[in-house]
Amino acid sequence: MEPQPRMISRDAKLERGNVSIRNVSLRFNVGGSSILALSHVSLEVLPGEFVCVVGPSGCGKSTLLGAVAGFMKPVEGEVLVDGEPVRGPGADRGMVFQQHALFPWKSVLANVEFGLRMAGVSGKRRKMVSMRLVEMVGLTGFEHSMPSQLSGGMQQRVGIARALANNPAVLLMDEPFGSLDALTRVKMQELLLNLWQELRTTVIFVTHDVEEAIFLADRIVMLTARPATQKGIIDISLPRPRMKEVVTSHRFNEYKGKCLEMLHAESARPIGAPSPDTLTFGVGGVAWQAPEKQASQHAASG
Amino acid sequence: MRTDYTNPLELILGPSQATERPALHKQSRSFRIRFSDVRKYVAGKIAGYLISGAAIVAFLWIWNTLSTDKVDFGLDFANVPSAQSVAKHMLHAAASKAFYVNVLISLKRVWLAFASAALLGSLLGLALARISIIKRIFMPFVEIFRPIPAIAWIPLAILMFPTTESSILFIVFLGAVFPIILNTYQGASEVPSQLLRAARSLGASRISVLWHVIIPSALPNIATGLSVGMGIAWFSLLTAEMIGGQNGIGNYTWESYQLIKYPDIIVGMISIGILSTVSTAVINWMCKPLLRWSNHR
Ligand SMILES: Nc1ncnc2c1ncn2[C@@H]1O[C@H](COP(=O)(O)OP(=O)(O)O)[C@@H](O)[C@H]1O
Ligand SMILES: [Mg+2]
Repeated sequence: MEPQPRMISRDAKLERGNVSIRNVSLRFNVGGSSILALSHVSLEVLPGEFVCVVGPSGCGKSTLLGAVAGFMKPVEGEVLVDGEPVRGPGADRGMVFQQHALFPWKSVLANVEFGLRMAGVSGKRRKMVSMRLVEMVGLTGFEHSMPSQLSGGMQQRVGIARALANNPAVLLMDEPFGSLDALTRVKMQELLLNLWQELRTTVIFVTHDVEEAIFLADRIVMLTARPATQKGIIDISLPRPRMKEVVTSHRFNEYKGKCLEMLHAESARPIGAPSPDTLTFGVGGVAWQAPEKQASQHAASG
Repeated sequence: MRTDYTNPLELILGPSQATERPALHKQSRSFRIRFSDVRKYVAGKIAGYLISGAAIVAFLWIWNTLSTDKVDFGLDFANVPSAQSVAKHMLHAAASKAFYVNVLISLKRVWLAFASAALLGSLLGLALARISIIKRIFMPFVEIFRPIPAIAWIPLAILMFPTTESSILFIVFLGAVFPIILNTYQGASEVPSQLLRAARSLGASRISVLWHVIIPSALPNIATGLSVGMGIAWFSLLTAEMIGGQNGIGNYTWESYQLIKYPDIIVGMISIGILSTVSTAVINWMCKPLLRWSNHR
């Protein structure tokens, strides 16, 4: 699929955070053989945009983020961030992982400060900025706690604050709320939207939860099962700021239907092709299973 | 059936009486600690200590009986000094300067060689884990030399080194360095890749990653290596001193045998045990503040 034909402002000072993923293929070498994880993926993310990447687990979502973060090198194609080709990890692309990525030997504040410290920011200023971020993610009073003393949701708050401390052009999030309980998850989604509304950082957010994606995104990018290729893009034009109540709206359900349709098409792969794993719908993580079965039902009824 | 009879009361009173302890835990969780439970718990603790104390007294009594009666049942106790005479010699040694000189000489050797082993061992362990060319070059040697006990090097070390002192230091170093290398290597190899990636995408340089991520993450293993290394350092030192030394606590022990001062053999043995235990405790104590984060994981 071609990159989205959109106008991109080149006023870099005002608008940073443009990500161009151009025809990227990526392989993993495992022992003697190799696994093709990404196959010719192209995507254009605009400055300040919130893009969700949805696909069955194991399809290559993390790999795609890894290519943007610079952890893995594509065998073909390239990733550009604000026109600069990605050559390795860098502070301009903040990363939030699913879990267990805080430095367990550093306090909350020291974790948040880490990026600034690496950038050589002086102690005083570092502390000021970090305290502000800790406040923004609602962790005031926990500055000196150790990560192991925090709940999963609080740990993810620290992870987000830590990634934002560097004022990155892009925030890359790899199923950051995937292991949280339903209520915490909703809170975190709202927190993230608030932060994003305030900071206007570009966000690329990976999830396998379609409802989460619709709630958060400006655009949803659907990936096929491995090797991931772009299945399609759905623009989400729900009004902002979004409250969780939006999930009960008609439009929201229309989008859900649209996503489903696209996923059904996805599941109608030739026999022998890798089938997508379980995808989940809804904050409660209700499993949406057996795409083949649903697809055939759909076909029978339609 | 429970097999871990950690509560000595359980052995004597049977499981029914000894289940008082779990009962107390249950009570305390619901904030209803009854006095009778506390009393039983404390009584259980005291009984435990009493039993341990009684066992030691019994041991001393059997030892004394066997040695004063010069019992010989295959094991010959005729020349084994009695507990009393050992105690007497211990007091005597504790009042003599020569004894302390020997202790200090051994301490100096161990800490000097151990410090070098700690420095070199942890650096090499880190390098082996994180730099593939270093691993390619040095790992075969580590694998070849690791299974050879340090004390097997004693004859060669005496031949190679200019002074006895340096050969002893070499043996102690060799004994301590392998557990330190291998534990550090393991710890530094197992750094979660998420943490490395997180650090890199926060702008950390390779050196910063080493300092802020790899070393802290490997510290629990390094501490284990140091602790084990210290034990082996003492073990190696004593053997080296017995064979090659003219002084030190190992030589003191061996010389006591040669000079037929048999109670002093046991004084030497006890001193060695204490020195080794205290040295290891010092290592653990020094590492503890660095490991606080990993305790409540
Ligand atoms: N480091 C790796 N080495 C080998 N294979 C990998 C590695 N990382 C991911 N893969 C494989 O690549 C595919 C895509 O993985 P990933 O991007 O993690 O999927 P997702 O995030 O969508 O669940 C999977 O089949 C996975 O087994
Ligand atoms: Mg993943």
